[in-house]
Amino acid sequence: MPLAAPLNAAQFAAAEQSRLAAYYGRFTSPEQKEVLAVPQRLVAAWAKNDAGAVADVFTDDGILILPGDVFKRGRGEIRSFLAAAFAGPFRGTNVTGRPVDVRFVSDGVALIRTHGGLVAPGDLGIAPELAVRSTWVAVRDGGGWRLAGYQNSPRGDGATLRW
Amino acid sequence: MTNKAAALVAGAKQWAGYYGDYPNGEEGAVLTAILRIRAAWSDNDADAYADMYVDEGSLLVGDSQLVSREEIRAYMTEAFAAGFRGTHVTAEPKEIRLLTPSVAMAVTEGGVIREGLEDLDPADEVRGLWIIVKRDGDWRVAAHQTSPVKS
Repeated sequence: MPLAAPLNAAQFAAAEQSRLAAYYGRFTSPEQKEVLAVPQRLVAAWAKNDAGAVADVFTDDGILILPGDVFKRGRGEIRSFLAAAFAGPFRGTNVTGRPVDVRFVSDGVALIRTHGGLVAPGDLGIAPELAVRSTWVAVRDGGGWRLAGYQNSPRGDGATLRW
Repeated sequence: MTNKAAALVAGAKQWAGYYGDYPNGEEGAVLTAILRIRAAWSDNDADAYADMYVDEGSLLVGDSQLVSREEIRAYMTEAFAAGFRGTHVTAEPKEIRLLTPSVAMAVTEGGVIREGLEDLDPADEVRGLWIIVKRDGDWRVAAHQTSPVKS
């Protein structure tokens, strides 16, 4: 089978722009796009299975809540938890999602809801077992945004993943 | 003490316990929103329940995402007449944090106590995240979602 020619820089930029446009959907204001960078940072850090980089998306005392008995307080707990997860069954996984709601509850606090989930190694999409509804509580932290809280809940009856 | 007074004292003691580690201060004020939600639920009162949310309040119930107070009202009106009839809800505060002077994040553990049961079935235990905002000097829920703990 012939290999596709590698993208040149312009083609790559265009593809990236189109991917971003699809991700932002109807949330296209500069403020919305700015805060929607937070999930993208987490997705990118997760793709490398880099627990420290995922934890760094959170504030120093950020909270992580997942289905199953997971309630982590603080970047340190989050990092250790994910380092173990990536050493175990979550190695090679990706996460993905798209925003379904973005709102600013005050200056410096944004709520994002996404529909997404975990992508098993080698899979191209989210299996029903791994589908989630997420709430991201983003706060302005210095020049950027970080997560004060992140929670996901099973999406759909078939969403059986527990941590 | 009359029976009524004794019942009130017992009820007050139980109610005070709902504040957990946050009886006072601004965190205690934030928690009043959740306590009023509990009270409305115990009364199976969809209006009182919905009125604790801001106009654009969001609530995830099971797999139903509600995105306004009126959607919440409609959903809970039906639910209290059917699946949630006679149920209670518990929500023990585990964390309450002011993100700004008018926006707070709370984490609770609890769940829906099925009709006829005294205590929460461990299988029904959930952990909830709440975003609670100050509107006109009083605290209201902007967003709430729960995740299963044991089931």
